[in-house]
Amino acid sequence: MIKIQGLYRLRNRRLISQIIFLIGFLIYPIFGDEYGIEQLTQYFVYGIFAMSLDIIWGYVGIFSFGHAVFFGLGGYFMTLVTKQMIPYLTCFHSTYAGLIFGIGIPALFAVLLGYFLFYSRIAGPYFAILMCAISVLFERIAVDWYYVGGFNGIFNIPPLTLSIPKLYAYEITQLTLLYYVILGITIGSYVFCSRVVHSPFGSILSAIKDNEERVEFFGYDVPLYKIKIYAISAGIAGLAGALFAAVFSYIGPTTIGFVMSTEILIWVIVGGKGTLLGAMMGAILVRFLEAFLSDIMAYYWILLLAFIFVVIVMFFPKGVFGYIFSDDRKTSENIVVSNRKESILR
Amino acid sequence: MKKASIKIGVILPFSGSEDIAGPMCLQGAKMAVAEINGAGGLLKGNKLELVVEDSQTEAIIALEKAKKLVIEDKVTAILGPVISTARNLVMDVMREYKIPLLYGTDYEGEACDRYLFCYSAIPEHYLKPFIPYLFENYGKSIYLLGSDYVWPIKTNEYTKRIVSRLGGTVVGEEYFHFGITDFCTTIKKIIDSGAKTVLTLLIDKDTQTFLRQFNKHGLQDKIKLAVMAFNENMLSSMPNEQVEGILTCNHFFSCLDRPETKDFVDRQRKMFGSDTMVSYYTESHYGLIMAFKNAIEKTQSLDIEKIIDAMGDQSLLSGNGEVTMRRNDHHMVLNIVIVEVNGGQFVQRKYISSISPENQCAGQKMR
Repeated sequence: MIKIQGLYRLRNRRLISQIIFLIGFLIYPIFGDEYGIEQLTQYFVYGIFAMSLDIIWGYVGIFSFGHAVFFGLGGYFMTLVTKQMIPYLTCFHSTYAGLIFGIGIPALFAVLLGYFLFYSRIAGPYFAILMCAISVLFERIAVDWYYVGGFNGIFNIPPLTLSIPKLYAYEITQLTLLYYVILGITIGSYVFCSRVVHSPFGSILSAIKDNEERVEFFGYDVPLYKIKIYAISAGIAGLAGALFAAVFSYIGPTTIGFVMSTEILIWVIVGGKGTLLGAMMGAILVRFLEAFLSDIMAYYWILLLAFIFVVIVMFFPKGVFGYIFSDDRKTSENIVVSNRKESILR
Repeated sequence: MKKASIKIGVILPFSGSEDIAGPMCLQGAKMAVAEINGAGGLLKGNKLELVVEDSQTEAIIALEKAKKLVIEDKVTAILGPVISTARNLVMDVMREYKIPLLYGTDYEGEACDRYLFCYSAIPEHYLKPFIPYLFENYGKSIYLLGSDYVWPIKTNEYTKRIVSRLGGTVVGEEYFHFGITDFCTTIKKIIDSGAKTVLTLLIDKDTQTFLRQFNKHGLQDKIKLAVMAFNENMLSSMPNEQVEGILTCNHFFSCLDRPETKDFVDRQRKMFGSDTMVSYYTESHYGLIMAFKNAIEKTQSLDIEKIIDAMGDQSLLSGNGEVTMRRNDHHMVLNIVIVEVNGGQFVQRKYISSISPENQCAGQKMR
């Protein structure tokens, strides 16, 4: 009996819940209204961003309290490229070029940051504070630099465009189509992240999370591993930022600064740290709750929301979705432990 | 049978950095709706209904809410938001769905769109009478302070033009990031510059910080302070000695000694309690709904394009004299008041009627 339950837990629970959510998202446009489709499209973008933090916070234990830097950089570079605002580079203005810059620049910046921070053994709260300072710094730059829109930000950013240079261009503006494109990119990002954390590379990362020194004694270059995963995370955050700019047709200083850096923490905690899908669903849930609560009560919704967050943190330490999406390995460990306990009892 | 209601969306900040403004704006809108519905509604007895949303003082949230109001609630018009960035973003939605935005916050000017109506004091409204008043009474050197964003910077471009036209001098000009806590060096610079007046265009919370420190240095008696966007709410939230003698200028103050103002404030107090704040935000948002109602009555239909055409060149009596919404640029001809704080109250110093700014669409084509 125990064995069957265990098998069910191990193999199916996660898979089944994944499939249910996938089908739900796939068929949503059939019965959802125009506004709902538009909302969910935007929330997927936040979801990708949330996963980018989870991959380093939940799996490697790097607390990046300033992750909006990468999101904002992605968004700004997508904008500057597609609006042909970078001197000498105006010949590249396709969505592809925007995405390459929007992903590449944050990743490069993460490598640079990581090189100086991780090799200097800056970690834990020091790292968090440093990242926070960097994000506030970038927000200041964005506000003060009028070429990139200053406080008001940049408007009228071109939508995502499928194109063959000089031959063909198709702007993805139709709501349902845009929904599926973004959903596709979200699923792609999830599969990619999931492959990374479940690869041998990922095993070393989770070992670093558990005991950094021991991994180092085995001869691994821990800072290098951290730089690599940080760059991956920054690239995905940049992708989310780039999509944000194209979907909202707007980018502004708030997206690169403190507020965004804090909001993403809430998404990941509410959804469930260290589960990827949990973090993504956390972003969707929190944004949905915000929209829903502020609809039904314009004045007091923020109090209620804060109360809900407190309840979640107190009673769902693994996050709302943490239990459904938690990792196979951890679950199997638990089962082994619980089996042992039961055999001892017997 | 119950008549269908005419919905007006409201996007205002009830949380975030501008959360003081939201409730004051909403009070005006609520009273307008109550009065219209109390008088039997519009057209054939259709009631007006407000659908209220919190913009959280975030442009992106305002955009989200605008889409929601337009697509889901199918509103006929949207009232709000407060910050310029949010207005620019929301306008994208309004243009796409061809629905008018009723905007009632003082801003930097030059927003021009067929679907945008601004019941706003723009720099020209208040600075045209205010700077000459300052120069006549306190001397011709002025120090400019502002928060570092588009409203103060654009406004001061205009200030500098007037100052040079009047033969005055700008002895200093500084812009600060939001949430600044220390004005000491600035205050020293102000003293050294020998400025007779200081004109501030800071956001609410920074204005309070500045006033506190300015007062601590005992400068209130030596240098005249002119504080823009200073309203009843800020006045009541600060100790009397820190605000004594401040000059400000706008299109409405609840202290005005005019029958329509007294009536307006009384109606507000009756509806929201005797200690409620009534400020220019309240008046402008009330006026916008009334102007919209007039336009619907004039056209006798809910055809938005016709309503938009009827919005222009109408005069109405709101909280301070007769004002006019112009057809050519959808901006207002307003009556302006200069007031001074005296014993914790605004006291009227000068009344200037019908200030008509230059065409805000000049050099642009109304889309």
